[in-house]
Amino acid sequence: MAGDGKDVFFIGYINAVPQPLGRFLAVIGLIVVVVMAGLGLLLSQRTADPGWAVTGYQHIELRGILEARPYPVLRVPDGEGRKPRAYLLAGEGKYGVQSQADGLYGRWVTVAGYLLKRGTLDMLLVDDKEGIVVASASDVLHPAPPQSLGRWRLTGEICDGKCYSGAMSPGNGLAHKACANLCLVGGVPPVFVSTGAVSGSEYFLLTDNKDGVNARRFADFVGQLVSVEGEIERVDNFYIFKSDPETMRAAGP
Amino acid sequence: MMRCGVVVSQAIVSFLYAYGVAGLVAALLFLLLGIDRVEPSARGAYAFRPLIVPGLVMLWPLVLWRWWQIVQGRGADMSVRRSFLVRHAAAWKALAVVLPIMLFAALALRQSGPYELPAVPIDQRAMSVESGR
Repeated sequence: MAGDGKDVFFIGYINAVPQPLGRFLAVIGLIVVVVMAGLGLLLSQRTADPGWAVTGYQHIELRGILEARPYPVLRVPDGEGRKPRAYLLAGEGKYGVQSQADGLYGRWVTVAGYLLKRGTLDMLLVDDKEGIVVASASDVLHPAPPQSLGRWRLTGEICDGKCYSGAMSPGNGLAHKACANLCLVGGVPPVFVSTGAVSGSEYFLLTDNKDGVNARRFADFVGQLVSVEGEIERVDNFYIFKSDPETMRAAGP
Repeated sequence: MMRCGVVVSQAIVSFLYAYGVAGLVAALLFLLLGIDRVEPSARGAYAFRPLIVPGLVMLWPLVLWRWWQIVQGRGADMSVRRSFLVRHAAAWKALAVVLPIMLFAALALRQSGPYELPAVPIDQRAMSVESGR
């Protein structure tokens, strides 16, 4: 770069940046900032909704029947214009709430925690301090039995239900694989995010067709696009995918 | 087994945390007191100093050792410096080969796509759900 007849040259240690070089860098810097901000804005418009919880956790208390499907699920009755809803449960940190739920399955309980929501997926993060408390029974609610939707082959990604429903943003993809596997090993319910919807839902609680909760079976496939066959059941608003691990393979050639 | 894994993970995290904190303290001391002696051409220049903090935090044992050598009067020994430069040059040449290999291997092995597919009904019940959409 030429200034007033003298070459200007920048080296890291000198204190004063030569004026022509300073102006040049200011213009380039401004362009880079504007272009990057514009690109960021444009790309963010094409990104899938990362869920509710990223904007702040909503603390709620729910009363319903605790069921093992096989992960702990809270089924809340209809009433006051509400339809019956099923909430997946997870704990704080990278843990499930199996130990808290043990012995309470089939009973009425009150659960306080933080609500995460993404599409048809509702997850309640159980508050460590308040936990799951036995509540008085209601003779009004009789939860509907699960409805089988038949056997399907789905293509999609295995995620942990907590991160994907909003605890992290975005909570999926290869970069999130280690985090998802830690969550799954800790007992957080796995969720299959399908590229094609079944009965309007793209999100499924993922179990297998044997012991149901062995997340290690899926560990190698977490965070990448896979196809797998299995039976789908609907429980209130959410869906369970009883997959056959033998049929699981990476999608694509 | 899992408990053991958690203990090992916690030990690794604690070690890295302690190493990082020690590195920050060493970096601060080095930038305030040592850099002028280790690199005379840095005297009076301050803007670049925060830029080298991450490197100092990672390499603080080496930085302190070099600083100590110079304080002891052995730092001006060009043979020591030259051996560093030779190893530095070798590391750069190795990186020049390894980094492109890593990049191309990652590109070759990545799962490219898109392979998004619709849900496929397999049995009769699934087909009736599909047709009832």
